[in-house]
Amino acid sequence: MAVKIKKLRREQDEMNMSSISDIVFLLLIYFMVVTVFQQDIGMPFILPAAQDKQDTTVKIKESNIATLDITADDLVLLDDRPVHVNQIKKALEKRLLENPKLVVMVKNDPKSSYGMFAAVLDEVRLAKCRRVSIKMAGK
Amino acid sequence: MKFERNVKTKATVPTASMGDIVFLLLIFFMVSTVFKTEDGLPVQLPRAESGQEMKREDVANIYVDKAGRLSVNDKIVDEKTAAQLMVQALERNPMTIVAFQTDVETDYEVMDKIMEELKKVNAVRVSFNNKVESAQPKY
Repeated sequence: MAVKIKKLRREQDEMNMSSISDIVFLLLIYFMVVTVFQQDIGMPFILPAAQDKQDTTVKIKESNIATLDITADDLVLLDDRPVHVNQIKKALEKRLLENPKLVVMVKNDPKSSYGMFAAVLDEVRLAKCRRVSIKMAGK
Repeated sequence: MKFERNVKTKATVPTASMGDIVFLLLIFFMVSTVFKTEDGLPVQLPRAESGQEMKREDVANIYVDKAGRLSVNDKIVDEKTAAQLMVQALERNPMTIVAFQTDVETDYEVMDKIMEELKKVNAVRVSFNNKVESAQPKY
């Protein structure tokens, strides 16, 4: 007669949790790597220092200057001719090809808006003009 | 007849709570982290394509809103004080860039006044901060 012995087995109905920390770590590291802090974006410009105004003032030939006037009602004039903001880049690129010594002078009316000035400066920078001067009209 | 009990001792450290601990740490640091931010003034920055990123530690902000008010380090100041604060920033870090966070509707003469003061104190590295150009028209 055979004796049957039942094995006493305790059933484990717990989920295996040992890998959850790996998953959380993975998420943590993923977000640490992916997170990009908001960077400030701007158009850098070097102002002429007041000290060396007397000694190192550079005289520029009239023919080398392209003047961009911004009027009080935010109209842009390139050498006294009205021009649309979007066309400044093209116009300046053409002028630069003709004359690589070109100096761009942005002349702002005191009542013109900063937004227009920024838009014009953006176009000038896009046209790869290296020599830019900013001044206010009537000074 | 003697039956030997089949007892296996498990020698494992319970790791089920590891995930909870990591989560707790994650949440603790998320909650306790305070980012150093400057509120400044509410401004609508101009849009531009040619803007470039600047190092965070080099930037000293001047906020200018459309009413012509200036804010540096969350304090409303006048042009002279702003320039003095920029000198202090330059003393701490000679690579400081003065970043203008100026509203698009600001009159240009406000900017001119600030830039004149900055020239006097030799803070000549400036930046006209902008948002990244999107599909919307620039101006």
